Amino acid sequence: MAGTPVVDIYSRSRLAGYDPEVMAASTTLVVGAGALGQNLVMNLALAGVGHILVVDFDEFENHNVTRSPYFPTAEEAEQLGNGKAVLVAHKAARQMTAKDGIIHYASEPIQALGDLPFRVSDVVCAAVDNPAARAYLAERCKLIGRPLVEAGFNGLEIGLAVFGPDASGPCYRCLNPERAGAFSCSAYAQSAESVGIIPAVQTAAAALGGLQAETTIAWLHGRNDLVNRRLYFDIRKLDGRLAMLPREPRCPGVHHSLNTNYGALIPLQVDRPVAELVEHLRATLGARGIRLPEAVVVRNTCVRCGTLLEPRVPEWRWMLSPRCSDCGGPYEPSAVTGDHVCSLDVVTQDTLADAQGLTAEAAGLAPGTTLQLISESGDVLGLLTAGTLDDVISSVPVLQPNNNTQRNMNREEVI
Amino acid sequence: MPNLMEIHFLHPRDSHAYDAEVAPECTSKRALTGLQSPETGPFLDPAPNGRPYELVLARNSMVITPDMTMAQAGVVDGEVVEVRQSGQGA
Repeated sequence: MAGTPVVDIYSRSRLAGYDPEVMAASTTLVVGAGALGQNLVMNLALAGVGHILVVDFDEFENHNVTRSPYFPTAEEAEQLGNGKAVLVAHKAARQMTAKDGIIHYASEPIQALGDLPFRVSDVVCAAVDNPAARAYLAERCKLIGRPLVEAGFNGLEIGLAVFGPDASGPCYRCLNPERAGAFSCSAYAQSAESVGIIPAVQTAAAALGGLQAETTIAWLHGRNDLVNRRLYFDIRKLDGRLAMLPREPRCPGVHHSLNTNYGALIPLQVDRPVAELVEHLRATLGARGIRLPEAVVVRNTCVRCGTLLEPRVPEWRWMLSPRCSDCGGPYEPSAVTGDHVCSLDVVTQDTLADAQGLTAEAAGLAPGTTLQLISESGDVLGLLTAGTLDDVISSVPVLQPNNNTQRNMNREEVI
Repeated sequence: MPNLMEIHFLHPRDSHAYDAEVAPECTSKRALTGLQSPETGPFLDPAPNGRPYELVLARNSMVITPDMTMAQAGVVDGEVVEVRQSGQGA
């Protein structure tokens, strides 16, 4: 409009040390769209981060309303459904201030999406509520070389940690070595999700979402003073501690990266048998086998009815709905050992029988994944599978108030 | 006879403290197990699954990882060690 003064909407941000151009050109992966993830996304969107990827397979429930800034209206739920990722993406898109900003989303567990969301991102933010997902994020970030800003709360107690991209530095598993899985027999492994409700309040989510966003934005600006630090804080007592995280020499997590091995891309047909992929890699590259992103539960015994189950899915997918297909009872970790109980994390010529009939997709391989090849000498090399972000994730362009970019509400291909 | 150290453990949530004699080769994990055992009161409630306790050396704000011994962490006699917990909810 003629005569209208130009307003720098980022004038205050600049005074705080933010560079809008840096943020507009940055990409942040947010895994988890619960109370914490929503507060985090809101802060990033308003602050001017240009590209945000939101991943969550969960749906809104009524009790979320007290701590969900993006809780849907009835009309929104009717139009878009109750999925957290799709709703958060569409609602946050209206708040993005970055020019040409875009929010991507996926209504799947992060493990189903492969490594492309990590590769296209500058920072990965963990806003998940279970140790297994945190462990997965920690491992992929070290493998690919991305910083991880991990956060969580319990009532009014909040915690945040920054793990650098350097594989030799500490990771989440240095402090939390136990990893709940289908074959864990320790008391810890009985899934944090089954213990009970983790108290969540909006004040904690908002405070922590702000801290997590600020830490992420600082990293985007090249300020990594908080690398390898953990914050413990009580928002009611205003008491806390910023501690330093050492590397645990015997950490069972991943402390190597695969960025500098192979840059070649191989096409991955996810509906083809993984045995076929292994044979192809053996014939072309002399690889002895591949390490799967997560172990596949091949066989296990239901401790309730004794049925031998053959889920043949990655552990993370098994743990989403751990029920016996025979008696329908809740899955319990099995202490039974022996050949009839089997998980598969490395597929070689020796273990092809266990991988018989398993497709690449069923084995947890997605387009754009970093395949870990095991050479004859035992070295682990990296190889990228071909794929684009559109293969695994949907997008919502931002509707800017002063341009005519049409918001594409109908372009939804939730993978 | 091991050369035991007296360590002053601070409770994560209140002002309570527990003084224990700890061997230098005791790991953080083992020390926390002891602090949750009846022998110490228990000083700490059992940690919920997925939300373990963590030890932080007050002097230098260094976390003592689960398999790190007190000696490896540089803990000396009379040291103050905070018991902390990270959050898991989101």
